[in-house]
Amino acid sequence: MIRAEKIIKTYGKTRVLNEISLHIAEGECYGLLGPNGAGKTTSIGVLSTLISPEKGTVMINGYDILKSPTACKKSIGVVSQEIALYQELSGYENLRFWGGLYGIKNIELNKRIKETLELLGLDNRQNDKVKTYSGGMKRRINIASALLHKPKVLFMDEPTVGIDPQSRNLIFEIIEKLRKEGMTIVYTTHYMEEAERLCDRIGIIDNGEIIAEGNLQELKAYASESEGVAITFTSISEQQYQSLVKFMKIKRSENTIYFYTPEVQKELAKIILKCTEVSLDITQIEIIKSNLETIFLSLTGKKLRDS
Amino acid sequence: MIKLVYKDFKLLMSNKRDVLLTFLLPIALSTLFALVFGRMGTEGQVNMGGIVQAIVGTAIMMALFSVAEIGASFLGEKEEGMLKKLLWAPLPKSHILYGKILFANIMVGLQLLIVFIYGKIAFGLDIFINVPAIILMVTAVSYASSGFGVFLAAIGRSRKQVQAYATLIILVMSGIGGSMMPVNMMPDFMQKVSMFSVNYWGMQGFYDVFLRDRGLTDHHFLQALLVLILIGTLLNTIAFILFKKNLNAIT
Repeated sequence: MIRAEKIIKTYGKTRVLNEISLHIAEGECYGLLGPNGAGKTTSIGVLSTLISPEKGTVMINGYDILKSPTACKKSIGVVSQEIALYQELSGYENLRFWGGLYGIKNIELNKRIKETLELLGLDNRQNDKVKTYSGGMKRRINIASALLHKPKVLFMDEPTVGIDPQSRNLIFEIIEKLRKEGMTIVYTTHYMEEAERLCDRIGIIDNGEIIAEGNLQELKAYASESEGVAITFTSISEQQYQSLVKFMKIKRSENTIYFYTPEVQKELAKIILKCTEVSLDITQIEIIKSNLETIFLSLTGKKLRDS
Repeated sequence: MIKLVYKDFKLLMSNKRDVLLTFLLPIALSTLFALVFGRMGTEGQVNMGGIVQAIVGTAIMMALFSVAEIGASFLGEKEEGMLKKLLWAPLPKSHILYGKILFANIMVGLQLLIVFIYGKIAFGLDIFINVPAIILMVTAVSYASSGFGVFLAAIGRSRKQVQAYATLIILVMSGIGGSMMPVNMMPDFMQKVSMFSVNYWGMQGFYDVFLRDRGLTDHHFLQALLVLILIGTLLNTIAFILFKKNLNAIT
C-alpha cells in the first residue's frame, strides 16, 4: 500500500529526512511518533505528494508519487494540522467544494456528504457557517473533507491538536471505525496515548530518522530497559552518583536518577537502601511503567513533548 | 477551475461587508462624484464629460480595490493552510492561480458593468453608444486590474501587508491616473507619470468611446486597449513566475 525507500529531504543545510524507509500494509494504522521538529510533517508531506524528495522513491497504492502524482492524489486523503476551511461558508458548502475538486458528481457527492456528516455527528449543523462551529466541530469537518472521495489511504497530521477531550474521543472513534472498514491510516502525533490506542504499528522518528519501529510489544523489547524507578533527591554529588553507577544501570537527569530494572517491586527496597547508604536525601519516588513515553526517553534520551 | 471561481464568488456573496464594498460603495461614490463633476463648467446644463469622469474614474478605482482584496485573500488562504489543501487535490497547480485571475476578471467586469448601468439609469450615460468597444475596454481593464491583484499577492508576504500597501498604491495610482480628477487639469510632469497607471489607460479608452466618438478602428482607442493588455500580461506573467517560486518553497 505504502512503500517509501530511503527518502532524503534537505532544507538549506538541514537534512530533515535522512534515508527514511517505510512499508505500510493495506488496512494498517501506522503511527509516526516524535517530538516537534522530528520530521513527522515533512514525512507526511513527502508521502502525500506535497513535498518532492531529493532522493528515494515513494509508491502509494501502486502509483509512484513523482511519476503519477494525480492518480496518487485521487487515492489518498490528507487531514492537515491546520483547519483549512472557508469560515464564511457552511459545513455543507465546504464539503461540496472540496468534494467537487475530486470530480465527484452531484448526486453522489450529496449522498457522500450526508453519510460523512452523519459519521462525524455534524448533520444537524451542516447549514451553519463554519465560523460558528466549535474547535472540535471544525476539526471534524476538516476530517470529513478528506474522506468524501473515499481514499484508500488517509494521512492524518496531528488531527487532535487543540481540541476538547470529548471531540478528541469522537475523532478516535471515527478513526477506529475507518480502520475497521479497512482504510490504511498514517497518523502522526506527539501524544503517545493516541498512538498506543489507535495504531497497529508505530515508527519512532527523531532528527529525521526512524529510530525504532514495530507494535507496542516489539517496541518494548527494543527498549527493555525502559521500566524502573525514578528517584528525585535534594542534591547529588559526583561521588554519590559514581557509587550508584557501580550498583545498577542508571541515567541521571538533574536531581533525578532513573534506575532501570524489569523487576521494580523486588528491587525497590534494595535501591532505597543503597541510596540511604550513600547518604542521599530522597524527596520523590516514581515507578516507571513501560509505555511509549518511556520507550521514547530510553531510545532518544529526550522527552516527547518537552523537546 | 470553474469550481474555484464559483467558490470565490460564494465566499464574496456570503460576506455582507464585501458585497457592500464591491457593488454598493462604487455606486455611492460615483453618485457623489457625478453630482460634483456633472455640474462643473456649465450653467444649469449637465456636463457629460464630468459624468463620464466620475463614473468611469470611480469604477476603475474601486475595481482596483476589489482585485487587491482578491490578491490579499489569496495570501489569507495560504496562511490558513487552504493553499496546501488545494495542492493535495488532483488539479494542476497552475489552475489555482488561473482560478484567481479568472475570478478577478469576472468580478471587475461585473463591477464595471453594474456601475455603468447605474450611470445610464441615474445620469443618462450612453452605454449603448458603441457596445463592442465598451465590452472590449471593460475586458482590457479587467485583465490589467486582475494582473495588478495577483501581482500584489505574489510580491506580498501576508494578507495584512498587502491590504496595507495596496490602499496606498491604489490611492496614488488613482490620484495621478485620473480617477479623482481629469488628467488634463494636472501639470505636464504629472500627466507623463499618470501613463504608468491602469487608471489612465482605462479612462482614456472609455473617454474615447463615451465622449470622443472613437471606436475599434481608431488608433487612440486601440493604443489604450493594447497598453492595458500589455500591463495585464506583464503583471500576470510576473505573478505567475513568483507564484511558481512560492509553490516550490512550499513543496
